[in-house]
Amino acid sequence: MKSFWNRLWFEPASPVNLGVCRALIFTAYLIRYLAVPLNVSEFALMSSEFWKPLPVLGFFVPPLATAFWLRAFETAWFVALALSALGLFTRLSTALAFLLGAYLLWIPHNFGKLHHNDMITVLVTGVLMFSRCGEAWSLDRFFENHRRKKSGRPPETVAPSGEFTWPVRLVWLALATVFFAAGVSKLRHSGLAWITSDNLALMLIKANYMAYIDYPPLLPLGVPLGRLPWACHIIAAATMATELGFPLVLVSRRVRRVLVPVMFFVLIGIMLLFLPSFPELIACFVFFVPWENLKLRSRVAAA
Amino acid sequence: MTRKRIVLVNALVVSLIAGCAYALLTDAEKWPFSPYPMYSYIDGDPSVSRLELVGVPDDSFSGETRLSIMKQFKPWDDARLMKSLRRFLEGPGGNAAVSKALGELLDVYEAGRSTGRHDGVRLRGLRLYRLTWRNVGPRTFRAGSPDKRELVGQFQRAASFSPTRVPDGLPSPMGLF
Repeated sequence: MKSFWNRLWFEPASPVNLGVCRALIFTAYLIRYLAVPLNVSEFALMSSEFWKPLPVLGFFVPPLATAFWLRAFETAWFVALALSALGLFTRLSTALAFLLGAYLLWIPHNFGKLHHNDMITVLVTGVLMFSRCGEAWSLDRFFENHRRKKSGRPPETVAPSGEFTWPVRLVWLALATVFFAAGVSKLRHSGLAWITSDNLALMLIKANYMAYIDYPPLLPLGVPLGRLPWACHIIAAATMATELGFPLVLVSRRVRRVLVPVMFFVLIGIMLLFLPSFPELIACFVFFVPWENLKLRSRVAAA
Repeated sequence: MTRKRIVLVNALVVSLIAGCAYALLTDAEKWPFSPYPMYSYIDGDPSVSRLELVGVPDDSFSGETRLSIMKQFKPWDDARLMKSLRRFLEGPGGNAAVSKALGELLDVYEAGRSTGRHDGVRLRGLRLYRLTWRNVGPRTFRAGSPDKRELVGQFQRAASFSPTRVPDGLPSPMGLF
């Protein structure tokens, strides 16, 4: 059991995979939050009637800073995300990306509605803050090697280590908890009727009524799909099975090959047919790509 | 890896699992952990109800203009704002609370307009409607005009070009009209 646990979390790996994942995920977050800014400072200007506090971890409500400070925090957060993507001052920038992000992302949920898309951002940046994700594919590494070269020393080779395995696996676990919880909630609140009833068909149809208020689903297939009960039952069953089985991706490569792409397309399907999008969750799938192997394969192909 | 680092990683793994289990077992939001209940309830209701926010242009008594929440009411998005307004509607304050909230939203809209953040027309009021479509089902889809469009709240200032007056033929005014 102990050797299984150690293999799962601490199997030695090169720093390349984690470095690429760090660069990609922080770039994705930066683009996402620049494209649709949080504008949290403007929430601070709303009256207290709109404020409906959401305790952090269920028991702690941090104070809401003034608009001035929130603007400053948001700017600093963008800088931290950019530096984290570049891998510059990585330990400090990833720590700031997590701390500022956790605070800023929490604020909008206290106004009206809790969206479930960005909790994963907090968890993933939290994991990367504790990791050594700046050892490869980073400006930190580039400048370090440049310094060594100038002083006549060879570039430092970072040996494979469990340090570069556990953060990737912990992001897998974070994603697994999200999908597993969603599956359990469906079973708890609706049981197997979530699959066997007309529920999904009706949800697909109802999503299209938003079109009247200018929010149509991206793909107009919800209505024709909702008219095929057998297709809805199959999609519902596949969704629930994938959610409940997703934790197995941590331990089985075979399961990973099936469930990771299936879940990826489930998220894309939700975005196209229902409108709510989960770009933060979708971005996390970069952690399932074996970047180092791809690099090797492309080298072999080139040769 | 040092022993300290291994202990730290194990603590992170346990914390993540514990946070998820805590939210799942209590079936409550424990941000940033959640039981992720969206879409988990069976919605057997054969009707659809949505709130719609429209603007009353400053130069018109009876006309209404469609609004874009994401562009004209930053930092709000549609789902968040409508949930807030629904909470006011169902809360103890009722219509007065909704009207007060709409007044504040009108300030947000006008502040955005005057600073050039959006190019919407000048408004003197906001109206909130509840739209209802009945008999919704796979074979009865028709997302055109709703079966019922009911005014559930409004806020209106005096027009800048004339003194306040209630025009004839408008739906029953509420709140701070």
